[in-house]
Amino acid sequence: MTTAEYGPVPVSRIKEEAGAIFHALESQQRVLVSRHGRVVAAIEPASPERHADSLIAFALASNETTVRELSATEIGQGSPSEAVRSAAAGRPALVTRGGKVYGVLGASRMGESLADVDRSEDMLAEFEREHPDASFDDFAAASDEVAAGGPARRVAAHEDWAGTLVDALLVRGLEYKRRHDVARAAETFERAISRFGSDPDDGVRIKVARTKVELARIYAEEEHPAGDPMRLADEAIQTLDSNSMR
Amino acid sequence: MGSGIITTHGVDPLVAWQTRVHWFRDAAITAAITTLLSGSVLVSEDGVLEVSWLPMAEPDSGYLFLRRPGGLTAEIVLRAVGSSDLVTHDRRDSRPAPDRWQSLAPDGSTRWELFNCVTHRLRALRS
Repeated sequence: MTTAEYGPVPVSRIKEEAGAIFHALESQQRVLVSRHGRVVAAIEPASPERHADSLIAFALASNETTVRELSATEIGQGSPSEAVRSAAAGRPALVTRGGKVYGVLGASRMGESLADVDRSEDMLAEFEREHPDASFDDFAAASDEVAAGGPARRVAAHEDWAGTLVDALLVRGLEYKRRHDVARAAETFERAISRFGSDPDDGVRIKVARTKVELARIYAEEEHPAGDPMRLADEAIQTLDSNSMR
Repeated sequence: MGSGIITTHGVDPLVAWQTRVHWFRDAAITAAITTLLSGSVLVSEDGVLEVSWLPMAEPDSGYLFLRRPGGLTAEIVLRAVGSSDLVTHDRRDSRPAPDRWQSLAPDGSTRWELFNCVTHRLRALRS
């Protein structure tokens, strides 16, 4: 396996474990799904490298694109076995909650070779020799580390994830604006700013600043009664100024 | 009871991974690992102790997961081998994996019994 995993969760228990599954996806863990003792599918935290097309299509939500969706509501209402069957057959679905994309349900991947496994086992054996008194948590952390390729890769995964979601929301907002649905456009930009406004990553902050500029433009053009275009523009300028100084 | 279960270095995995097995603070998972790697039969039941298999690209190789919902998961990477490839009293061929290790009990539960295989890795998942 190439990243930290959660599960495998039998299809029959996805409903019971829905809360933990969404938490795992937020923590950038891949969720494995099994049926009759075989892992048949996996929900991967959405990533720009693998799922950009699906994310953008979902953000646009146009009539021409049909992106399958498995929502938390559907999971709570019954068994998602049909979605899992489809995913295993090569028809992925976006896993969402509250309109946010948390992951992509697809066929389980097999990226690791036995040679990779043996290398990581050597690392675990070395950890065991050097830390004979380690706790389970230390061991679990070492296991995660070995599988995920180190902490740097996980941080990068979060930045990619957050940056892509801001991008997707920006595209969706601009599309609403092009269709003259200004209220929905503003709502979409506000959502991106609300969710990622305090993200510490520079790349994400710059994307949020661009979103603020787009929202400020709508507030100014529409003379929105509650909107404050000057404040938004100032915040965007401040972010971009501080970034250019580094 | 199965035999011919060895690590890539040719030793008993329960000896090689003695420390690691006991790091699992979950007695049910520790017992499940011990049962399985000693060649005894382990029964899988959804919601109690779930055993599942994910194949790798290499033939007859894959990940075997032992999971207690709400608790921990152990992942063991295995490769099935023929009895003639090992010094073993068990003449059964374990290929194709995992079919030969898995059987259905009369009550509908799934039974797992390992034999003639190489264990490549044991690690923990925080599920």
